[in-house]
Amino acid sequence: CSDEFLETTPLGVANDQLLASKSGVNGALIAAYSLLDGVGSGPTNISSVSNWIFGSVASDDAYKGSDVGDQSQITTLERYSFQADLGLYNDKWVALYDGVSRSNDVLKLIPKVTDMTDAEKAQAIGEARFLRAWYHFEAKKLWNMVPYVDETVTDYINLPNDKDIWPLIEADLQFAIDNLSVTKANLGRASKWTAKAYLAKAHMYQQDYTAAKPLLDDVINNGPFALVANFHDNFRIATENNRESVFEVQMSIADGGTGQNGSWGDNWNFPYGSAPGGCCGFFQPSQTLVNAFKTDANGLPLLDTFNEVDVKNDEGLASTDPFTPYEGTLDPRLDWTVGRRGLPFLDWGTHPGKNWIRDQSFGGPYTFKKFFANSSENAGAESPRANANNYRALRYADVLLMRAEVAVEENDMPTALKLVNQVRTRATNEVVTDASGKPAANYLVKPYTSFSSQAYARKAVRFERRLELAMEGHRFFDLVRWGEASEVLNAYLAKESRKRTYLTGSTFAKGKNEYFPIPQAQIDIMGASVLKQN
Amino acid sequence: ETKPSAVIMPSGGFAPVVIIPIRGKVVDATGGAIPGATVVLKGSSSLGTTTDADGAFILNVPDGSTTLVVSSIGFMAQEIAIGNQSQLLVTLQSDVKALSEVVVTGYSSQSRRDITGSVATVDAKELTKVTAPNVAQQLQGRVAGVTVTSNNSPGGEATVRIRGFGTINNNDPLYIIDGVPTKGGLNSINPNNIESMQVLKDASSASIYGSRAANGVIIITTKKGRIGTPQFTFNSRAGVQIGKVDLGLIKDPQDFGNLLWTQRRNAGVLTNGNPSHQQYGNGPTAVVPDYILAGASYGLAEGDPRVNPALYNYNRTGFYQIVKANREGTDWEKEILHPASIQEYNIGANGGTESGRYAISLNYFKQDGVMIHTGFDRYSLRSNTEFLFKKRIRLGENLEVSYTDNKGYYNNNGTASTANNQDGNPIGNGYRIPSIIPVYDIMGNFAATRAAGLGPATNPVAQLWRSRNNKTSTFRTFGNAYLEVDVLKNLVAKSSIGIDYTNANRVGYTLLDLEEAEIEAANSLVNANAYDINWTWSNTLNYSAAFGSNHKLNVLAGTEAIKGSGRDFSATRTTFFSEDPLYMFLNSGTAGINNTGGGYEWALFSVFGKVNYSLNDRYLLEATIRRDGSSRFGQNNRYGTFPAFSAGWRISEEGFMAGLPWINDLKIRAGWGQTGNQEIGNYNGFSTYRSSLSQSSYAIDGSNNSVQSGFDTEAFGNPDAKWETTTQTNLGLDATFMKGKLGLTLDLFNRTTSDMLYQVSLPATQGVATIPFVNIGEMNNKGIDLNLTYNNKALNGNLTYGVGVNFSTYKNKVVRLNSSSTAVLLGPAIRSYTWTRSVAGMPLFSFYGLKIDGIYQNQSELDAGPAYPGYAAVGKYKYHDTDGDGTITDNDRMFLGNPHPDFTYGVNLNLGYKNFDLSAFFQGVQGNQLLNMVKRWVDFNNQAGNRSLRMLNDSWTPENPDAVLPILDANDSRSQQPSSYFIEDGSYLRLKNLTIGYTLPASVASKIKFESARVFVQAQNLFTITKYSGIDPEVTSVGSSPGSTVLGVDQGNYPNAKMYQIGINFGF
Repeated sequence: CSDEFLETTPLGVANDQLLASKSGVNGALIAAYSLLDGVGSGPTNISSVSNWIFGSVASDDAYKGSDVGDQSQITTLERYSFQADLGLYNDKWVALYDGVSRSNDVLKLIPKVTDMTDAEKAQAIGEARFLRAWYHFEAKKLWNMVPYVDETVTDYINLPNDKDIWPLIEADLQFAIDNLSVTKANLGRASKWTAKAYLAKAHMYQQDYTAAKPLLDDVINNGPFALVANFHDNFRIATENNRESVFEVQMSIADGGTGQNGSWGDNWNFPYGSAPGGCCGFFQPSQTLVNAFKTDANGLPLLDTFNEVDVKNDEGLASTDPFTPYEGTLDPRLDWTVGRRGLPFLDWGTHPGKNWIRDQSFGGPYTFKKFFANSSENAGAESPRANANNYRALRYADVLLMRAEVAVEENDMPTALKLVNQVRTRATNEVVTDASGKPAANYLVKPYTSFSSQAYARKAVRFERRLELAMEGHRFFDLVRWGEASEVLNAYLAKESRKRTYLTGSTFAKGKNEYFPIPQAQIDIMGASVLKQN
Repeated sequence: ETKPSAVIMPSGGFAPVVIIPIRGKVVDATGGAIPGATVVLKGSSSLGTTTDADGAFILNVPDGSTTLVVSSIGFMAQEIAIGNQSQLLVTLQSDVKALSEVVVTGYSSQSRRDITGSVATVDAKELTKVTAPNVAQQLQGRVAGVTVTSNNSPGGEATVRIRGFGTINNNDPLYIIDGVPTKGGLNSINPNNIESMQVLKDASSASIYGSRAANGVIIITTKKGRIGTPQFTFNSRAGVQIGKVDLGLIKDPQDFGNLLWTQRRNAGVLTNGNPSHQQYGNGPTAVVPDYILAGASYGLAEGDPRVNPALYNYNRTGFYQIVKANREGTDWEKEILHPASIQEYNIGANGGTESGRYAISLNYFKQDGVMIHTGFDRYSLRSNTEFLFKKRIRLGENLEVSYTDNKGYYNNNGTASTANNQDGNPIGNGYRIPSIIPVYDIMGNFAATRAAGLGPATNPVAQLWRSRNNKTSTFRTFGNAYLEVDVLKNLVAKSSIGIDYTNANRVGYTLLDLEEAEIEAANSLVNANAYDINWTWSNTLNYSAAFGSNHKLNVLAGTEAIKGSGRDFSATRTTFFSEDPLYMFLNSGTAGINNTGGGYEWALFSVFGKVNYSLNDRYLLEATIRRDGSSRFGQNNRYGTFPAFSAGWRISEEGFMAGLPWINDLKIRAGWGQTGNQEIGNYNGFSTYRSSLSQSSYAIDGSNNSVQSGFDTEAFGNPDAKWETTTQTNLGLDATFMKGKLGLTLDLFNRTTSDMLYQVSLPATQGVATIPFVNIGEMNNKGIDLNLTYNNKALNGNLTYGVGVNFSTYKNKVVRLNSSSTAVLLGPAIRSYTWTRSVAGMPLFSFYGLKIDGIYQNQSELDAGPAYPGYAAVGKYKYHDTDGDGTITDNDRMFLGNPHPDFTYGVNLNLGYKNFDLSAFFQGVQGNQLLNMVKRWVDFNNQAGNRSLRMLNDSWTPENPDAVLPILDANDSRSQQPSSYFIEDGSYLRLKNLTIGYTLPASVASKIKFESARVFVQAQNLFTITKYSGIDPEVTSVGSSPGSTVLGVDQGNYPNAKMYQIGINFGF
């Protein structure tokens, strides 16, 4: 009697017997996808898929922003004085490895399922392995030496980070290529093409241009992708899941959740005060980034001299003081990327400068703009800072520019020129306009006529990548894989610390700061002999 | 007088029995009346009464009865021959063996003389001297070895720790109220009904409660009816509470501007050669503006067209607020505090006959919070009755039905103490929001940080006002019904069914806060409901007998079944057309429709037994054993057995002690026992998946406003968890000296918890889910409890005085966390930093960070000190290079102190002179450290916000080399990292209670038809002596699970109020 009395079953939850079915596997897969945005396993803003901290603030694209004391842990990163015990590294690590774990949950369930065909199983395994590769890829970018966790692991503590995991990432991606469908059952899923593009990107990170080239060519020549007409269509809700999207992280609001299915990971990155969103003023574009968008009389970027003279800004001016924005020529992508005084801020009105900035003397005169939704597209959101704007994790423009890099390294100037110009030409199609419909600034962007040398072409391709993908969380990783991080970032610090005095005295240590510290909290758990610090 | 005439009573078919009323009075040796003395007919179990306030009694006895037995606690019982007297005068001699009272221990009661474990009895009268909503708060400082920390918010729970921290797991004691167990919720129990309270501190006394007793057991017995004529009591008290918060913050807005200017100048953060700020302009000095906000403009002067009131608009669209600067400065902490009333009323009736007795009481308690718009109300009804059939069957019940309202911002404190001691609560916002902001704008709406440059803090007055209608209403039924049968002369069988039913309904409002920097998207309402039901069925057989004159034996055996279950749901809607509370019900919300809910159940089945043996009243032995089976453990380890043994030797009975007449009683005790802990959640053994709308769902089809649900791991199960076992050895000594005037109780204990159930942090490589408890680790507490009492009389008994002192100390040590000696249990990250950790060899929850060796005074000191790239500079902190590698890194962090006190103590003074009585109660804690997190907000650049006068006046400059804070530097984000700066001595001594009362002489009282009448005035928390610089040194712990708990970290507690009251106690 008493034994029965003492038997209880958890209420309102599922177990793996219940999930061992086709729909259960799909549920586990949905959960694995749901962590792509970096939000849903505890950490939120720090672990955002946009990598606004680790890819953009860590680079020369952006400052931490807001004020000196809020999230000062990010300042230590911005100054490259990494502290392994700070929460931000652990937050990102936890979010990524939870994604890995959810992917493995799918793989562990599938052998128990009886109502799926082999083809259905292969598709599900393919998606799970794609996601597992994707999460590991992110970890690899941040930390280089990281453990690889697959579905056979039972001892999660003794997983040393002593091996290069690129081959394992590639194996998962290759499996996905071999098994995933060409077309997607749902817009948010990965397809064969997605996997191919990511495998190419994995090769690019290893400077293996030979391996990347056929994959990129395949994606470009045979894939379903194309550049969309307007650059800004990559950042609008109304034009989500378009032809340029190779892989897109889906956002949703007013869906019964608490806003966390929306772009929650970037919800600190709104202008401050009475501005749209009203909080919290993080992630402010750097002056260096803004300067990079200057163009010369031929509509080309100033590859070597762009940072010698600043684009004029309103720093120190009250919103009521008169101000005329910079009148020189600019790449129009600047004003889809950066919010600056005197220009329309989507449909939120004209950017008033200082009044939208939490502490201008700390974070500078600019605000982030690229992922903003129009106010008209944000109805019903749980928070003014949650919106349904998808994060385009891999855009076709990125694929074209990677292929251009390959061409440069092969000394194939015509291909490189063609691809870069394809991206530049599109940039001219739509510019920010003022109330009267006129261009809001003096925009001039034109294709290159020729690349005079391999070195010049390399510089041009890399510069184009910076302009096109600015603030999208790729810049720091690009600098590292190009081996340029120390040179570029130390020059950046020297220049910016004159304006942003909190950067004074900081340097990027070559051979050390290319990768972030392994979170101390994980080392404490797994042991310093298992998980070795970078 | 002549013998009264006999009354002839019919007696069921037999010959009539003649009943005679016997009258008398019971007095002590000084002639003073002894109220409440028991008078029974010898040889009868049912004929008895108690004396009234004048010590008088009337007892109807059959004619021919010969002897009465008169007894009273603290006096030796006396037999009185009835004889022919019509008016007996009984003089009782005080009992030098005053500890002969009966105390309730596990499932039975025992004479205090015979107790061999460590059992503290708390005088219920002393407890209720302190006005508090729950008895746990009243327990503070009363018992050696029991540490109580009050939450201070009205209706907030208190944290009770018995003999330190036994585990990394749950440390709450088990409460047994009239035989029914509960783990908390004492707010809903009226403390005035408590007859007695026993704290079972050691394992030998507590292990009869087995798997739930590891943290000690508190046994509460409520007042039963007394045989006699009905007695009514009416007690009431009312008063005012005054709270104060003084953190030494900047009040003058000019000071705040000056601080900003110095910081920016020192950091070279200059615009056009001068510091710049949205409010204070851009010039050589900070200029306090006339207006801080007009629409989207800041720092405006009077006369500016933008401050024209005609532009004002307080609608979401077209919002245009105009706010004047408060040039005098707002004292925010003052704005949120007010003198608050407290009142309590109790009406009781008590009485009975031989065959039935009753005690009922009605209670109303109302405490307004010293923080505005907060409060707690309780209404309760208790009914305790017992009926006797056939002289050997007793049927009874003890039941309390209560309704409580926790109101305002802290309303959820009763269930989860998340609101208190956090930087986002009104106290936190009060120290964060700058003083230049007024409470209201020019039109009387709230003003706040919409005015730029002043940080993101919330207006705390608005915060409290907007949550004024938040409320948790709890309906609770708690009690038991029992049947007790005297099966044989020495054998009693008892069966009891207890119930604890709680139904709580919570409403929480989120209202629009347009004046804030970080505004709400929409107004919203959450309405949640939860019920919990626990039933306990226990059956015992108790055999007690004496063999010859030397042997006494008591044997108890029993079974117990407990089942707990509950269900809850919560629903939300947003976007209400009106914020009128009469309109804001769920059905009128137009968006954000959302709900959630869950349920649980658990069960425990136990068998237990206890044997007591006493030889010659001198050698005492006790053994107990309990075997528990719990649903919370998997099949393999479902059952746990918890034995205990103890022995006592009453040395004072030995012949060789005869030469020491000043020792009246001397007993030494030794005990050993094991207890358990099963607080591991209900389903620790199961690996489960959940479907969560916000955490496992995804818009896989590209939708912008719907998601498909998915499943992610909710919990990693550990089916192999077994019982955590606490083994405790106790050595004790009870003694009374000088004819009972001086009493001493001393206990030494050693308590080790092994197979500690602990949620070992899992690596992220396993994923994120609820971590299971596993058996790992060991914790030790060693300590001393000491209790001393001295009572005496003078001036012919007109003056009575007494002193009670209790003292306790424990040394807590984590022996082992897991198999790795370097394992670390990190505390939670608070605003990015981890401040506490627990490791083997150190006390639980120790503070951890860098040690500060001073401030660099000059370049040569700087050159000689360790490198700290990007930080070290003249005027900055010189951190201690613990590892000696010449550079400051994470490896230089060290243990900086811990929140465990060296000792705690209480001193109780009582003085009576004729009809006046005075009592004073002091309570103190010595030698603990506190981590003053408030300083991080007000002394450093932790978000923009108000700062302290300390930061303004005591930051380093060449002219102020002995400053406590580093040089003002707008770019300094590192001086605020965890360091010894935040650690302070948390010792305090507090006058907890001071009461002066006057009891009307019985003769006067009877003239106004009262049996007794007393009036008193009382002050609580009159003064506190401490060096601690925060709001109050009594800091509540935050969090309950291992990785989320911090102890002694002060982020701003609800202030401890001074309370002044008057009260009356009437009996009639």
